[in-house]
Amino acid sequence: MKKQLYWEDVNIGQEIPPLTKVATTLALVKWAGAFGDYNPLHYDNDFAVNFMKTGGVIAHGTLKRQWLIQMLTDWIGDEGWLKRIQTQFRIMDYPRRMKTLVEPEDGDTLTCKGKVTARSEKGGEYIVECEIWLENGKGEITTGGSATVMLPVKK
Amino acid sequence: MTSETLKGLIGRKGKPQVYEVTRTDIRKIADAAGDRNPLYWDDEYAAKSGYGGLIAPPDFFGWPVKWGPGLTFVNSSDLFGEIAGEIAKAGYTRAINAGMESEYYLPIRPGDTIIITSELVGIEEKEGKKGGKMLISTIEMTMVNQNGDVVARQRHSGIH
Repeated sequence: MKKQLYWEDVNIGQEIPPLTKVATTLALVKWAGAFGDYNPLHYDNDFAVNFMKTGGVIAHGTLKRQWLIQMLTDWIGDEGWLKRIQTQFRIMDYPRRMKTLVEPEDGDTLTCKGKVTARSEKGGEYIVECEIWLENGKGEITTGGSATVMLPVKK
Repeated sequence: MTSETLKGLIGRKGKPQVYEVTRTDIRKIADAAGDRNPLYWDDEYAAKSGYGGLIAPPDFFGWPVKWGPGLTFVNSSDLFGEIAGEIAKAGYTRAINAGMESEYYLPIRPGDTIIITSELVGIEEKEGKKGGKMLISTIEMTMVNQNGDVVARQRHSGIH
């Protein structure tokens, strides 16, 4: 079993263990297929440049959000429950192209981060509020947001 | 199309979408996100957890909510596509996902049937930063399982 986080062990200001991810053209196509988002903005470079004027294909907001979700579910463990997550997509993230079948070109690495902003007990639920965000390689916040998680307490 | 006509779209509901959840769908989503959480992959592990079995990751219900099965981005019969078509008449032909908020109430499991309803709850024209107008749309979706329990709600904001 994975390590379990308990409500008593969480303090305001505490950082959530970060999670790093690389957006590649391969990852974007996989996500488009698995999630059912067939918007050509995420795989057709000419469409992205000429029609959407984004300068190139961009990573799905929903994928960046799923990475933030993973950071949270890894942190809260099997007995934690993600109650709410809110994300705003502020800056576009461009994928790395593939160099080989398995290896991407050098480029940006994205990091999911977060910290605890509040802790409360309400109606028998032990709640932790967090600020969450995704940073690009330049340290800019490309996705911002917040989340509410419920944690177990020690017996 | 005037601002008032656009406002008239508020309350428009999408055709409910029915999603039968399989292990394969769950693993496709987890794999595409690069998430190896055993609760999504390992039946034996998940059976011993508090969930008593495999579950889907939060925000699992993407497909077929956005553009139904077999439909393309521009030829959709669902609410996202319908709204996109209507607001295109007002000159807003692009769409960017601006933000999302979800609340999760119950886990989604393989074998579940999830019915997803959607409604346009907001539409607002604003002055853009670089001059010119922009449009913000908000769609709310509700996911209900085969027992009639609401498993999640989600709000999507689009910038057009």
